[in-house]
Amino acid sequence: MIEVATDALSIIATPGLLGWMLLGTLIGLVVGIIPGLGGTVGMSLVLPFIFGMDPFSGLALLMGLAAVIHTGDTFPSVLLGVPGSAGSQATIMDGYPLARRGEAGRALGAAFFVSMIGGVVGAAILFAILPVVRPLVLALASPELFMLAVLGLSMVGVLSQGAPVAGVTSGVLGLFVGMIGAAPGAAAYRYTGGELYLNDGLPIAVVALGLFALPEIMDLVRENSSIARGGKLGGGVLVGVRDALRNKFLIIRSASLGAALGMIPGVGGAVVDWIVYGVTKQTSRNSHEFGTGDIRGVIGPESANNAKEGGALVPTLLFGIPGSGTTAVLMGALILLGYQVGPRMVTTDLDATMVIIWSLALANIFGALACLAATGIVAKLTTIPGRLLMPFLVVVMVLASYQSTRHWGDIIAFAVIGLVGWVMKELSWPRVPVLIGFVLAGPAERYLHLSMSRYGTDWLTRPLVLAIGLLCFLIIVSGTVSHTRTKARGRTSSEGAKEAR
Amino acid sequence: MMISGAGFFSREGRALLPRLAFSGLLVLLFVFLTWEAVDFPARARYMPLTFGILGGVLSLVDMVTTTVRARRVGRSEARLHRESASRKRDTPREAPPELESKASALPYVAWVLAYLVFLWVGGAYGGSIIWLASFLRIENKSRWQFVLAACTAAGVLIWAMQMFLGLRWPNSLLF
Repeated sequence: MIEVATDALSIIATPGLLGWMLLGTLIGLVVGIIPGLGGTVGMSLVLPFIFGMDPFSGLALLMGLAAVIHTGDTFPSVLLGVPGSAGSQATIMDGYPLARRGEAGRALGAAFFVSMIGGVVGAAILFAILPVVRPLVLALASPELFMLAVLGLSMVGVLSQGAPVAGVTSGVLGLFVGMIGAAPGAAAYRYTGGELYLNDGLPIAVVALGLFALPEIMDLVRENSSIARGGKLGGGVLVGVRDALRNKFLIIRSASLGAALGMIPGVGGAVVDWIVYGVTKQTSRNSHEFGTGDIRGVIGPESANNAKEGGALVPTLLFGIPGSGTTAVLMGALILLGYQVGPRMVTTDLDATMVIIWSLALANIFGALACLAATGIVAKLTTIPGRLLMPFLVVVMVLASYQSTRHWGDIIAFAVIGLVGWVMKELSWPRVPVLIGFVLAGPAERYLHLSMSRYGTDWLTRPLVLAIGLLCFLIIVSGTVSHTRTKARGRTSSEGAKEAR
Repeated sequence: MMISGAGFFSREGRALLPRLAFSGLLVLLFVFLTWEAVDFPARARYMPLTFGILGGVLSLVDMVTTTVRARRVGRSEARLHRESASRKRDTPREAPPELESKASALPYVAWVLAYLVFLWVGGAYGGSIIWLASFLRIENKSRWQFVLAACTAAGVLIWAMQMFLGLRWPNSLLF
């Protein structure tokens, strides 16, 4: 296997293949930067050009693109507070507050550096696990997948900004937004009001853009401030890199968790992102600073979302089960290039698999270096006054939301959700739980339905189900304890201040 | 439940009225969603029904806690007033509620809605460029040279994304 890996490295190191990989990396970064476009759109863009290409060149182009989507999408997440794609949602929690403090360069520096490490760790895990992964993946059935969705939902309590009732209510609201459209397991359309557009449900890009983009833009123009309050830039790229180096264990842990969760088909990037953010918050000291601009809140999810791509390739390559839209298109492309996904990818076509792994690792390095080089200039965008940015951002957001299904419904839904998001922001209702509820509504209901149909109530006693259930319980309990402690600490300090007066 | 309690007439309590109204709207929304769920087939019903009831109860709890909070701040504000009256001197006034500051964003909401109308009438190219020019001139009072440069850049960017990334833009619904 090592021999094939070194052979594959010599193949990928040829100028032609490197060129294709860099082209894919460039397209991937552009697609990642534009909010609303994701890996699926990016892969679909290059798919027509793959046909007839030399297989290794095609693989390098595709993997270069897929590897860096979650590197490029950090720009909108940090600078605008808008998730660049589904897999970078949690980055906005601390990345945007850092940008508001004038530390966009620091947040981006840390994010790109850990994205690079995460991507390489993901590729290394993919390489190491290929021969032994089969029984692991097959051990996960619908009950475990349902419990993973519940694990994601349990993060709602953790991310409620100290308002548990409002947080859980927002999460429930998000679940309902996610329930719009065809019901899983029954021939019924729910809450569509007879609108054909809603039959497939609302696209995630529209919901994320509406919930976060419009309210932030409104805030900027109302305050007539720049994204970096005061118009000054503080910490630079190197400060972020140093922050990342100080948290090396967090990077490795989050990347490994991201790659492991990525291996589970059907657990999307958004779920991985939120789970890793929640775990990072729960296991960090002084976790009350999360959500206000804690660099660890950027490092955790950003390490995971690039590593997840390596993990997601396991079910795609070995079993022909695409875990996401991006891997589904990749699978189509592999077939176009003449490969048969399945066990052959680790036997007859092992060289192609190694080219994929090397492309993944190298594209992550090149992509992150390119982004790090551009960070200084891009971070200056945060000093432009809000009223000058607003019209351009509105145009970009509205047109980006239209890319979801290319239907006028996208634009109308964006405006309606944007107004609701604005009201929620003004009234200090947490908006993140809405997004988590929305993302998890489908998987939770689908896997619960499958579990009940296949196992009755017996699935509740499966060991992995019990283990994940216990983890959910611990997260909720530790979240409550930490919330109570923070409140008590706040009370003590205010009483102390009174006494001092 | 006493919604029109003394708390909401106080200065701070008035600031909580929008939150109370929002929670009330959520209660109504969850009641409606639960009501709708009753007619779904059995397999499509259990999740919306369960979460509809949960959401309704939670928003009701939020309404109650908001009311209690308003009454509490109302009482403490009244006490402060009484104390200041007895000392016969002006106590420093609390910061005014942020309602007016929040309402100052409304013209921009109107601008965003206007953009949708512009798109509807003129499509992506015409609508975006005319709206951009209007905003920059009327709201930002930008100079014509800047407006022209910005609109040209936006037009070129929209065209380039269509050409090179294969993106599609909304066409005018009228023409």
